[in-house]
Amino acid sequence: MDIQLKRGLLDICVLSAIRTEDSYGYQIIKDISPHVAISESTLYPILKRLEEAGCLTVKNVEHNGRLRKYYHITASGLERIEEFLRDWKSILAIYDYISKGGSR
Amino acid sequence: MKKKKYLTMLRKEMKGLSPDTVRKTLDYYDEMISDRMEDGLSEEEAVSAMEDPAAIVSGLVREKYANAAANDFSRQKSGSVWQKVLIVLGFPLWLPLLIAFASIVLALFIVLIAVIVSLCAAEASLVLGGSAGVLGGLIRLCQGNPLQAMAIAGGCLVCVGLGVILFKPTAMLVKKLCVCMAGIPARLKRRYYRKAV
Repeated sequence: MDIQLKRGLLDICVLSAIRTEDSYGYQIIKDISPHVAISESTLYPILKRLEEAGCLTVKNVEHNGRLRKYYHITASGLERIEEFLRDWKSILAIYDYISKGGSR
Repeated sequence: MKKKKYLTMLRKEMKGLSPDTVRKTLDYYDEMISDRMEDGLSEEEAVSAMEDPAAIVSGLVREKYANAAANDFSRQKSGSVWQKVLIVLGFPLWLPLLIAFASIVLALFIVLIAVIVSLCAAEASLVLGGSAGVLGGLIRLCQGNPLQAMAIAGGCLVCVGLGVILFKPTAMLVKKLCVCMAGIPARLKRRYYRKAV
């Protein structure tokens, strides 16, 4: 898959993984992995980027005597998912056009 | 490999990145390894599931430049033309200023080197010259002129003594000046370039 396309898709996948409840890094990887290949080193810059963009917030929660970072989706993150779903319909129309060899 | 060793390797690879990035990255991978271990993996298995530290850091740097390029692109839409015009039109102004600035930095380096060299030379002349004078006094003594020999040797022993007393403060001063000189490029970089990652 094209790197830029995968990068954009992974952003949405990560936001979707924390859409219903807050989650932590390893759990996000386990949730996304069945659908898209993702590693720790791929997830880290995505989380950083989404945090800087205001799509998620981070809080430290104590867990078994250590701190674990939990990620919480913001209104901006939810809007990003909605925007992706809206855009996808027009992308599917383009896909149809391309898959039919560009014919009318 | 144990987690501690892996994180130490990762820290070494991140040399040059901002302390905040180093801390956050180490915390992230520490958490990831701990979570895998909690999930039933051994420490070695959990660490081996992580990517090579060098690859992680090169990924971080790539991401940084990708973001910087994206930001530059969005900034270019509004200001790049005016920026270019100003750079070209301001050429007669900024070039002499740049040359003057570079000359001041160079002069600062030369002054610092000169101070270091003169301090070392003064210290060496006190010790070596004094020692040679004591030897000269002994020769005068052998030549049968004890009063002159005592005067020369005495004066020169004072010089050697001064040299010995001043050796430690001089060495400390030279060391501080060297550290100051070595830190100038880093200070200039911090002052005039964008913050790293």
